[in-house]
Amino acid sequence: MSSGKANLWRKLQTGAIWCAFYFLLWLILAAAEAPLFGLLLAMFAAWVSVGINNTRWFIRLSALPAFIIFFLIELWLGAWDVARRAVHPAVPLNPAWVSYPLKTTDEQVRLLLSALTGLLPGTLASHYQQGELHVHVLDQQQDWADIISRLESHLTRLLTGIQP
Amino acid sequence: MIEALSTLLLWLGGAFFVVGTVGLLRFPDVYSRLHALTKADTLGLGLVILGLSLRADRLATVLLMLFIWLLVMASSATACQLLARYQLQSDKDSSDGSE
Repeated sequence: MSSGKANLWRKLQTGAIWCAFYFLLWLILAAAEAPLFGLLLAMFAAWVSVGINNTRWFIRLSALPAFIIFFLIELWLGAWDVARRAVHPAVPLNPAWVSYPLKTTDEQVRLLLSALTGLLPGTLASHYQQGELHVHVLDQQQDWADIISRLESHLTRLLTGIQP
Repeated sequence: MIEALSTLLLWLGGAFFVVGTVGLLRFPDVYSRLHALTKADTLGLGLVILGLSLRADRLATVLLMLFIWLLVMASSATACQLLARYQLQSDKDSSDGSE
């Protein structure tokens, strides 16, 4: 009974933090207009967040600059690569589905890695299952595993503080 | 000088949007098309926002635009992944059905 109570208390706490975060988001984006409507939306969004078991995210600020620089460079390279392939018929497409063995067991790192892989050069993840990330690559010859591995290391440092 | 740099960034951002759309039309399958749209549009919007930031007269406006970019990036990365997952599942279903 007491563990159920503790569980409920933790959920309420997480919900309150999400609600505050979403409400702040609303205030910034809507320039503080219609705060009541914003609060209702924030409460709904917080309820969904708790419902899908979205726990709190902690970021190691010391790992943030390296991550941002890495990410912006790769984003630029990825968009440039796809632009070249789109307008230049001579640059070949050699798409395939490949599996990337995940090194991390951290759920938040896996989730973010799966989402952000789509912004790296030539890679796009659909999901992860049994320790493997399913990735669509534009060119099989390209060293896609190295790019994903570097993103994984950055995210591990950023979200867990562990040096991979 | 700043005005010229801003104009250059706005044009460059626009060009990436156009190229993303060219990729959408030219690439052979759904997954490759998703690559084109997600990457080119995310960078395109980033460059447009950078270009507009150079013209902004308040820091708050710049931060707001950066914030919008982050949110758009988060939603496009997520949507792209969900679309790829959905298409992969439908491909599997249709190949299972045809066997």
